[in-house]
Amino acid sequence: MTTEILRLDEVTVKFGGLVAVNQVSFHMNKGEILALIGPNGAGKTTLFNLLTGIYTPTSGAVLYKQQVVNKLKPYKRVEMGIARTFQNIRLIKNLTVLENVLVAHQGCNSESVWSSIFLSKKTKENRQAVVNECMEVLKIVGLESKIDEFAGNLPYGEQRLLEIARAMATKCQLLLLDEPAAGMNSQEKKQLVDVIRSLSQKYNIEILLIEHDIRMVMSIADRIVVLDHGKKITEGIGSEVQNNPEVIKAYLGEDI
Amino acid sequence: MLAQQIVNGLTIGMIYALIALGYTMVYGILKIVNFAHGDIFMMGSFFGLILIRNVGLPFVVAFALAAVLTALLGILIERLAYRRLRFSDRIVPLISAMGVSIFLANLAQKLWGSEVHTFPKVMEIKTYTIAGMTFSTVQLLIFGLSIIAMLGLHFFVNKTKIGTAMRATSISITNATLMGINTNMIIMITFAIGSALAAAAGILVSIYYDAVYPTMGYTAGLKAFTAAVLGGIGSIPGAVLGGLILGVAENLGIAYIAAKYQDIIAFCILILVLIIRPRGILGKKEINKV
Amino acid sequence: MKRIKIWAIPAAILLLMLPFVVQMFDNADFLLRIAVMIGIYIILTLSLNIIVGYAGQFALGHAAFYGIGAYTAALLMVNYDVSFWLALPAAAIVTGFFGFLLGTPVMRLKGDYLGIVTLGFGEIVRLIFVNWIDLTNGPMGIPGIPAPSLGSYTLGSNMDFYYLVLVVTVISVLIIRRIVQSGFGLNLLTVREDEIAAESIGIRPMKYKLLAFTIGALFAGVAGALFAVTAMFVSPDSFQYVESVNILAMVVLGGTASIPGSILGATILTVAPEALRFISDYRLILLGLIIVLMMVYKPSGFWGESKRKRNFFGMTGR
Repeated sequence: MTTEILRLDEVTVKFGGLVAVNQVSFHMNKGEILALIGPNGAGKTTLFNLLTGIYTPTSGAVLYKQQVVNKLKPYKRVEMGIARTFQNIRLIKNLTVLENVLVAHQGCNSESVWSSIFLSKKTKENRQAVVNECMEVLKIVGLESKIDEFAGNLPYGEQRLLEIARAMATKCQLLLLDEPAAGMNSQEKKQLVDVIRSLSQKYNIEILLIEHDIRMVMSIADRIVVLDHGKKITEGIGSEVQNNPEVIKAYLGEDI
Repeated sequence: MLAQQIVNGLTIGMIYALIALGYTMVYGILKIVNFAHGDIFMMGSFFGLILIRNVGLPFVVAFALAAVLTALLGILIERLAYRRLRFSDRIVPLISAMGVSIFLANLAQKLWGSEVHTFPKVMEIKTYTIAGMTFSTVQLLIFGLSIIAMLGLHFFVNKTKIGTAMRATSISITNATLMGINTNMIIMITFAIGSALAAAAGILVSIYYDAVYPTMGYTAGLKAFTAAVLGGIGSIPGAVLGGLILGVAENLGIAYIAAKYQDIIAFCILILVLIIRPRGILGKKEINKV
Repeated sequence: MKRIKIWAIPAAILLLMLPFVVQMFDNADFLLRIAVMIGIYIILTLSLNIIVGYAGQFALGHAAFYGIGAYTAALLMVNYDVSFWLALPAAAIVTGFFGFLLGTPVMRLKGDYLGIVTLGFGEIVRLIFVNWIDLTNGPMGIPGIPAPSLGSYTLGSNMDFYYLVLVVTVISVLIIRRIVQSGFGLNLLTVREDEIAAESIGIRPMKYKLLAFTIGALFAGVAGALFAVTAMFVSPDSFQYVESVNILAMVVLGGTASIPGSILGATILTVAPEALRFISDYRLILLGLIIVLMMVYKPSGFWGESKRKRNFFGMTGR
């Protein structure tokens, strides 16, 4: 039996009269990579913001580790192990690469003002341990040689990788990637696929990603959920989904 | 007694409203608090005073000329202290505005001394009693001119081509520029109108209280800003409503609590409004998109 | 701590010897008084920089906290004969508490709104100093604040005040540096730049903004206590709105989110008006002009954030 990590139960999100997400249900198993696809305006990003706590569902329930998390604030969800990246990159441009990852680490947040002032040997050791862990994540995404550069000076593809590293530094169990490959060239996409795979294997985490590049999704996802007009139209493994007439209709229109 | 306090409150509320219009118009377009606006109001009073007392112009001419001079001052300030900062961090123009405020207040002090000047007599002061309430001619003048100015502004913003361009610019400077609107010109006009209204308020309040002094802009400016926030900053009817409410609230406070708490009441209203309902009575809610 | 900077030793010697050097001039007391004010302004500027520079919260009422610190110390020392060494931390704690009280509701506000609310708060505090005559003696102020004593020695001369302020300032600078060059400092910068990103990595913006506001108020209280005891007199006039603007100008001219910047800004803006005394009538006009010019041509200040230490956390990844 596989353990279920995340479950959405008939979740609906309404903005005024507009139904952005309509009675969507799916689940995620331990260690799984799940892709969320669908044409523009299908409700993917809304669903994402729902999982990270920026929106709350109008009805239905989001369960994480068998707990209802409908109304938890984003930072609370991070404490529970849910972290995300953004479609429009939200790095802190005038912090360095390493600093961007450090701020996400629990050890960096939990240091008290007193221990910062007295800066005992123990505090310094703690800090070094935090830095070492962050360096490890940075190595996986391949940015360990650029730690002292300002995040804003990195090329686009590397900024996306840095956002993943930052999310990983929160020690998340469920990683949500919002269009991680957007704007990347094929070389960078290949690197990204490798990074996602190695993160999934090394830390045994669940990854939920929104992506437009079907080829990439097919190569990386264990399962795929397809949304259209706020509704789930199907889910399944790669080839099932690819040949589903509903999916083809959603992407290519009625008369094919 | 109560009715009389309300009349007095509405009088000073009209003054707050006239100043608040300048804050709200500039904020609506540039999204900055023109911190120097209170000092522009003070300069307007002094221009009026000098033109009547020293130059000896008749009241109506002096009033109009002071408004024009103050409008030019407003345009100059925009050009020198704000224009280059239009797209920088919001704190930068605000600090620049504080610099302008310090500059103007101290310049006035240097030019005209720090003492309180009395305002020359410009009209026969008579009082009329209607239904137990006393109105002075000065109060009637304030009501009359303020209402004319506000209706004029309302017509200008909503019915003229420049007014439409102004509203477009307040939605997005970039988009308005792309649509062929000369946004620099529109911003200049906004500053000019706001400053002229402040000058009108400055002269009227100087007649009402018979006092002109260099630091008068600070408290008046802060209270007018309170009025603008109370009504919903960026909203023209809001500024008028906020000014009137503030004026009445303050006067009731003086009458029923204590005169020395007049300013404290205004600032407490400011803080409470900002904490409880920062968009004010008629303001729009800002939406944060992820 | 292992590597003491080369310039630190001569700088320390210079600061320690300064009162003796100053004795060579006729107006030694005046010069020492300026040095004392520089120290007090350095603490004020740094404390405001935590709020404005690091946390990015636009606070305009810092003179209120400065005043609360000064009045707390003055009232404790004059009315209750409390020793300065107890009045100093008491003033810091009381002021910090006021910072926390004000910060709790207002830290949710953004940008200009926050600026105006804190400005209003500053005005209310000053009006209370003026009007609550039973407690504060109103506009007349509180005279006769006793000099602090160290054992049997009374710190009464300007030279004594100089060393007192020097010690407290150096300690404050070191503490504030530790506070900002830490995970807390990184969190503040993150919150300042992007609250949504901060929340997405588990940082609670409200908590950090409030903490920054409280710490900033607390150090302003320290500066207030120092002012009360070195001026031996407090009155509402010292804590007007112009004072808040002055401190903010020091932060911004020096450079936001920069400790050397604040020290530089406080020093320049304290010395400049004194140096410009020969044109004293024009100095506030000039101050206004300088602020505008600085914002238009160099908004990042003399020693801005771009010069900051790259690795804030104090540890290297290599």
